[in-house]
Formats: sequence, C-alpha cells, structure tokens
Amino acid sequence: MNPAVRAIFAKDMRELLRDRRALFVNLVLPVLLYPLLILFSVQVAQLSLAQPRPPPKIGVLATPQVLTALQAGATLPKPKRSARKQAAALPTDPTPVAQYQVVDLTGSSWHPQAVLASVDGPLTAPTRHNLSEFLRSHDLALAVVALDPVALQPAPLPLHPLPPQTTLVVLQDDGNARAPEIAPQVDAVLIGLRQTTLAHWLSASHLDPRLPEPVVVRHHSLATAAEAVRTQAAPMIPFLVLVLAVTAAMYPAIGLLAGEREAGTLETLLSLPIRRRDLVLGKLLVVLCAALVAVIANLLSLSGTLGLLAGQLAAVGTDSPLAGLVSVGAPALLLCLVLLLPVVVAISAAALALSGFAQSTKEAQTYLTPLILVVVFVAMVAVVPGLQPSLALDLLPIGGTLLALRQALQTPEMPWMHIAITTVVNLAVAAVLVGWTAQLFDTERGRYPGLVRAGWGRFARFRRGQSLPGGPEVLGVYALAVAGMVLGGGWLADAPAVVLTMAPLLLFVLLPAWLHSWLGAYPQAVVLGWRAPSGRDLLVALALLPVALGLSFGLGTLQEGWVDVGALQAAGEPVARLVAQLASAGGLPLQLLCLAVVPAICEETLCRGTLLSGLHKSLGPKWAIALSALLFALLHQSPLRLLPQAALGVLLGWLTLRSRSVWPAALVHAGHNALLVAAEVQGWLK
Amino acid sequence: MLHIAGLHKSFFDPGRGEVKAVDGIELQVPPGVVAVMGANGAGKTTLLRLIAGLLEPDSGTIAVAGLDSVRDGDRFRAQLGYLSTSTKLPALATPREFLALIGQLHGLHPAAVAQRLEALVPQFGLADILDQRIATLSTGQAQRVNLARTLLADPPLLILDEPTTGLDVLAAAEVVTAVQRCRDQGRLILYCTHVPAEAQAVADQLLLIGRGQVAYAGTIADLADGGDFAPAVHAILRPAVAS
Ligand SMILES: Nc1ncnc2c1ncn2[C@@H]1O[C@H](COP(=O)(O)OP(=O)(O)OP(=O)(O)O)[C@@H](O)[C@H]1O
Ligand SMILES: [Mg+2]
Repeated sequence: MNPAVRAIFAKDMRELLRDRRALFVNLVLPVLLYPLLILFSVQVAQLSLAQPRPPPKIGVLATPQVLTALQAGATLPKPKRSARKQAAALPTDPTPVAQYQVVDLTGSSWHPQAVLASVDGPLTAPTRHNLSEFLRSHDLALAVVALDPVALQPAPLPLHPLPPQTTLVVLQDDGNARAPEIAPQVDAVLIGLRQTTLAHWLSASHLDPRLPEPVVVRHHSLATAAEAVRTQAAPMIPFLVLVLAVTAAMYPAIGLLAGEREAGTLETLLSLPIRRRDLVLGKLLVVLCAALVAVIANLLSLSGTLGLLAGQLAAVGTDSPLAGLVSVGAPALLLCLVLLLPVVVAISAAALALSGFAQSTKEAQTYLTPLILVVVFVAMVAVVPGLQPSLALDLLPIGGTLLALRQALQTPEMPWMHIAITTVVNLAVAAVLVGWTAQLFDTERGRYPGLVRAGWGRFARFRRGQSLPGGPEVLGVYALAVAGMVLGGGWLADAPAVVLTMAPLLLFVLLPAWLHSWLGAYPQAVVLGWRAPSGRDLLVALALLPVALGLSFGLGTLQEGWVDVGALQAAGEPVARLVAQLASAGGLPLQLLCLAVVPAICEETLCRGTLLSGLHKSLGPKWAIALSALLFALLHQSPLRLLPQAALGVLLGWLTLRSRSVWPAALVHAGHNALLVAAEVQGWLK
Repeated sequence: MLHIAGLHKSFFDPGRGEVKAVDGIELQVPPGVVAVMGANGAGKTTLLRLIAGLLEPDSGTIAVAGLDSVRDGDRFRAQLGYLSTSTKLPALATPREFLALIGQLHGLHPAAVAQRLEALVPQFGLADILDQRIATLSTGQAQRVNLARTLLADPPLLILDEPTTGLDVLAAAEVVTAVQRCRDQGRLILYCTHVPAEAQAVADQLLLIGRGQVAYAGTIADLADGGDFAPAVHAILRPAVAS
C-alpha cells in the first residue's frame, strides 16, 4: 500500500477508536441492543399468546327461514389461510324483506338463542350509510345479509324450473380492525352452506352428494416448518446486512471529512506534499473497515442471541422471521458479506464524497439522509415477493445483487450467472464512485466547498474574470436567440396557439439570457435586471404607458401613409388568428398570458436585461439604448412593426437604465400588449 | 525564491457578484522575512492560499525554487510549510503522534523525524507537552506545536497566515519569538498579521495588499523612517479602503 494512504488510514483509524462516545454509540450499543430487542420481542410474542382475544362479533341479517338454514347448514370451521375473500356487491334494487333478525355468530357455531335484535318492519332499500351505521351500532365487524326471500329447501330433480337463487351479501366494515381476520372464516361458512344446500338437493333427488365433486384436492406441505421459515426469512438477511453496513458507514464518513473540515484540521492535510487522492483513499479504507466491523459484530451478536434463544423461540412458534434467521447458517451470511462488499465500497465512497462537499457535519447529515433513503428504497426490490432475478434487474446496482442473494439463500442451486453479472455491475459502479471520490480534493471546489469561480472560470480555468459581460458577449447571446426563433419557428409552425406563442419566447428568448447569466456566474440582478424596482419607478412606468401606446399607434398609423395597407392587413392576419385561437382555448386570461405577460417578461429580460447591460458597458447609455431598441424591433421579424417597436424599445431602454431594473419596462410592455389584445378582441381598430 | 507573475483570482459571491480577491500581483521575493499586511478582505489569505497551492490561479503563475504551484502539485507543496487560522491540530492525538504523522506524510524516515524533533523541541519549548492530548493544550502551546509542524521537513518557504490570532499577549509573544528563531539562511517566511508591532518584530520586509493589489513592497525601515511605521501603512491603505 502507498505509504501516504497507510499513514492516513492509521491516523484516522486511531482517531476513530479514540472517540469513545462514537465507538459506543455505533458499535457497542447496537451489539448490546440486539439481544435486548430480541428478548423483548420474544417476551411480547409470548405475552400475546398467553392472553387470547375475545372472538369478533359477526351479524346475520336474514329472515328466520334463512337463519334456520344457516344453522342447519354450517358450523364455523377452523380458519384456513387459503380461503379467499369473495367480492360481493349490494344489489341496487333489493327486495324488501318482512323481518330481519340480527344474530350474534360469536363462537364456533350459530346459536339461535343469540338473537341480538329484530328489525321491526321491512328494511327497505338498505343503503351503504344505514348498513354501516347498523354494523357499528352493534359492534359487528361483519354481517351477512340475505336480501331475497330465500328458498333453501330441498327440491327434487329434475330441477325444472330451477329453485330461486339465494343472494347473500357479506358486509364488511373495514374500519373495524378485526374484519380482515374473520372474513375468511365467514366465507368458509358460506361455502359450507352452499355445499350442504347442494347436498340436500342431491339427496332429495336420491343422488350421491359426491356428484358435483369429481376431483378432490388436498394440500400437503413437504418442507419442515424451519425450512419454510428460512425461505421467508431469506430476503431479510441480505437486506439486513446492507442496511447495517450503510448505517455503520455513515458516521465515519461524516466525521472523517466534514468533521475534519469542521474541526479545522483538513487544510493542514491538504497543504502537505502528498497526492490528495491518497488522503481520500486512506479515509475511504477507514470507512470501509468501520462498516465491515460493524456488520460482522452485529451479525455475530444477532445470531448468537438467536441461537441462545432458540428454545424460547420454538415456544413462540417457528413462523417468525427471527426464528428463520437462526436456521440460516454462517456460510450464507459469509456469502452475503462477500457479494455485498462492492456495494458497501460504492456506498462508502459516495457517502465520503457527499461528506466532502459539506462544510459541516450537520450539512453532511442532510446530504447523507437521501443517500440512505435511496439505498434502502432500491434494496426493497429484494423484499418484493415473487420477483425473480433477470438480466434487466441484474443491471440494477444493489437491487440485483440482493435479488440474486435471495435466490441463492432460498433455493439449493446458486444463480451463478446472475451473481456474476451483478458483481460485475457492482464492481463497475464501485470503481466509478471510488474514482470520483478519490479526485474530490484535486479540484479547488472540493478543497473549499462553497467557493465559486467568477465568470466563465466556472468552466474554463484560463479566462481572466471580468465582472460583467461586454457588448460582443451579449450580441452573441442575441444571435443565439434569433437563430433559435428562426429555426424553431418553422419547427413549431403547426403547434397549437398556446405553444406557438409561448414556447419560442421561453425557449429562445428567456432561456439563452438566463443560461448566459448562470454559466457566466454573473449577478442576475445586474445582467438580467432582475432587481426589485422602487415604487417611484413603477409609478413612472404607469405614467409612461399612455406614451408607449401613443408611440406605437401613432407611428403605426403614420406608416400607413407610405405603406401598402393591404400588406398591413395581411401581416395582421396571423396575429388575429392567434388571438381567436387563444380566445377559444382559454378566453381573455390566456390571451393576456400568452400575448402580454410572457412576451413582456421574456423580451425585456433579453433586450433590456442582457443586451442593454452588456451594450451599456461597452458603448455607454445612448448607443446602448439605440442599438438595443433596434435589436428588440428586429427580434419581432415584422418589417411593418419595425418602427413602432424600435420607438417602444427606446422608451423602455431609457426606463430600464433609469430604474436599474427590467420590471418597470416589463410593466409598460405588458400593459401595451394587453391593450393591443383588448383592441383586437373588441374590434376597436376596425 | 518566490516568483509570482500576473496573478489573478476572482470569486463569485451571490451578493456582490465578482470579487477580485487577487487582482494582478507581480512579485519577486528573495529569502528573508516578509510581513504581509492589509485591511480585512484585502486578499491576503487568498494570496497565501494560492502560494500554498490550495487555490488555483485564474491566471498567472507562482513558482518556488523553480517549481510551479499548479503543474508540480505535491513536489511544489514539499517546498512549503503552511499555517493559517484553519489549520488546527487533531484534538485526540498527542503532539508526538501528530508530528510523527506529518513526518510520515512528508516521506521522512522515523529516524529523521526523531532527529529533527531533537532540534525543534527545545526551540519551541515542547518537551513537557509532547505526550499530552492536544485537546488539553492551551491555545498558545498548540500554536507552538503547529509552528513546529510547519518546520518539520525544513521547507524553504514558510507561510504563516495570522499565527497569533486568538492568542493572548504572552502566547502571541511566544509565537513571535518562535518565528524569530526560525529565521534561517535561505528561508522565506511570509508572515501575515494585523499587528504592526509583530510585523516590526519578525520582519524586515513589508508587503502591503489593498483590494487584491500590491500597495507597497519594500523594507519596513524605509516606511518607518526611524519611528513607528503604522501611520505610513494607514496612509497607503486608506485610499484603497475608501474607494
Ligand atoms: N470562497 C469565497 N467565495 C467568495 N468570496 C471569497 C471567498 N474567499 C474569499 N472571498 C472574498 O475575497 C476577498 C479577499 O478575501 P481574503 O480572505 O483573501 O481577505 P484577507 O485579506 O485575508 O482578509 P482578513 O484580513 O479578514 O483575513 C474578500 O472580499 C472575501 O470576501
Ligand atoms: Mg485572512
């Protein structure tokens, strides 16, 4: 090993071991806690076995006739897991029944004397509401309702006409905690009722009751209870190993970088003549060691405790996942550990890198919490029942391995192919993450998080910083915007009006301006003009609104003197169509949004923000206003509107330089456009 | 010894936009002790971090003994000892362990470290505290250990950024004495401080930084003109601060 890596490893290992409190909380405590927790849960389980709960109450709402049939036909059998819940819907138009009796079906058979209540008079049209009221007032988790006049009497063959079918509706109050528990039992009773009724009919016709059941199915379990439990517990083990490793890696990862930075000892190490990646690698080894030691210690403690408790667990019943863990041997655990090693390496590296970006341990914690969540979430794949390893899942880091491990633990054959593929994937991910983490301190950003180079230096280290972009730079941004408008305009030609009006503005006008300010790390308050204006400037803007309208209309009308009016109307044509389309799509609010608000914000940000500020820096105020106004007018690609737009641009440019914010100009611009739209809608111009 | 050419370094600050922390510094510094002074935020720490190879220049070069700060990476850093307000000592180690680690990371043989300690321990008065946990040391003692750390590999360039900040008068005096003792033939010490008396005590040369630029580079004696040089420093820095 490289001597620097070794020295850092030894130093940090020593520091980790000296931090008694951390050692206790992260290693000793969990190791002691497991036995205690397991003891506790075993005690709780035994306690719950010792005090049987009173059986839940079941109600029957039926005529006495049906009740008798039920009593004759069925006794509550022992619950079977396999019994399925059957969906039953309330008939929309039930026949009223003369009298219902409510019977408590508590216990294993239907006691006729357990009549709880009689509903006097016909219970017509039972609704969802009055039935649930009824169930709750009698504290019933479930009720069986016979809605038809029922005929369950034996009928001789030939069954022609068929005896009327009986509809029984099972009402289940899922708001009652015990409903899911007794639903299968009641189903079983009703199936029994069906069978006995059928048997009655058959024997009344002198037929063998076995007639409808030519095939009899019986289930036998071949696995021992322990084997079954082991299969159930298998997905838990890799999951447990992973979660233990991740949580164990977190503390050292936070302490070794963010902690060292917080304590102010990191800069010393960074100023030393060692390769900075050796520093990170040494620390990574410590994190890894800590994670592995914690996992091994925890697993030993866990399996030791479970072994000791094996006798007691047998008393609780073998179908608890805890008992299953006992039956998983050491080789299986070792397999988990080995296969998950690359995963733990990758996670440790990621955790260390995140910790390195943080300026304090607290910040590191906020970065690492999502990492833990992501890992646990992906690991959940291994607990999804029935999911089989597949080529696609193998490519999922963490999840694929856990699935392959689950299969390895559940079945006698090893899924070698899947193990190999997921291991390759994990190794690749680990290599990438370790490589990425190792170069953490090679960059200035890594050494001093929070440090941002100015200007384009964010991307290129050679550029001398300039505080604000100059004319050529912002003209480049403008050229980009125009190119986007021209190229994208054709591309969007068939789009609906909303897209056609807003997309080019947002994508080709606002986005380039914003991206430029972001990439250049320029202050947006200055470069985009996104700065809160004073109240006075807003008042000035309001006062200028009539002036802007006058300029725009006046010059527009003046132009009519020397321009062909037919062409003018033809040019107005697409605009009118857009206005109409927007009106049908969303009315006036949408028209104002698409034609006034969004254009004002986007165009002002580019023309009065980026362009004007850059030109101002290079050319001074007068030329900047003139040029930016011209470019603003050209942006609209409409020769007819060129003059009015340019005049408007001069006004808005002056307003922006005065207020040092684009918002007053945007206000005038939006107001101007809104009034134009209103004029178009109302036909004022005609 | 130290050659700085066309050095620029800017930061981006969301509130202020671009901050030119170092704005075109050219320097040729021969061995000796140079006091670095300037107002808060003048760019001293940025300059010293650039020289220590912790920050990278936006443009310009820094060379020490013919090695380039960016290109030569760890070989460049082997030429210097760096101490600042953010180079503290690990609380749970002892000075002996810490110094041994630093020696190891400098690639020194343990025997060489021991030999070097024999010289440094009496020079910085570390004999009694060598095996005490650093957490239990006073700030002054810890700073002496820290100073010994920078000198462990006997580098030709020593960068001390406010080594007496947070120390009481006596402890500060101890550090100043220690720095005076490590003035050495052929070594350059850059000593950044806000205390004129300290500058006068350790250094003969003065480098004044104002708004990222060199405001004065020359001897203290020339400025002081026989008396206190603080008024002259104020006179030079005031316009830079005011503008
Ligand atoms: N990471 C950073 N991000 C943004 N600005 C920074 C950063 N580091 C330093 N600056 C700015 O650079 C300028 C120079 O800072 P520097 O720390 O070099 O000053 P200094 O002369 O050492 O001040 P002091 O005497 O207070 O230590 C300051 O304006 C500071 O705010
Ligand atoms: Mg400083």
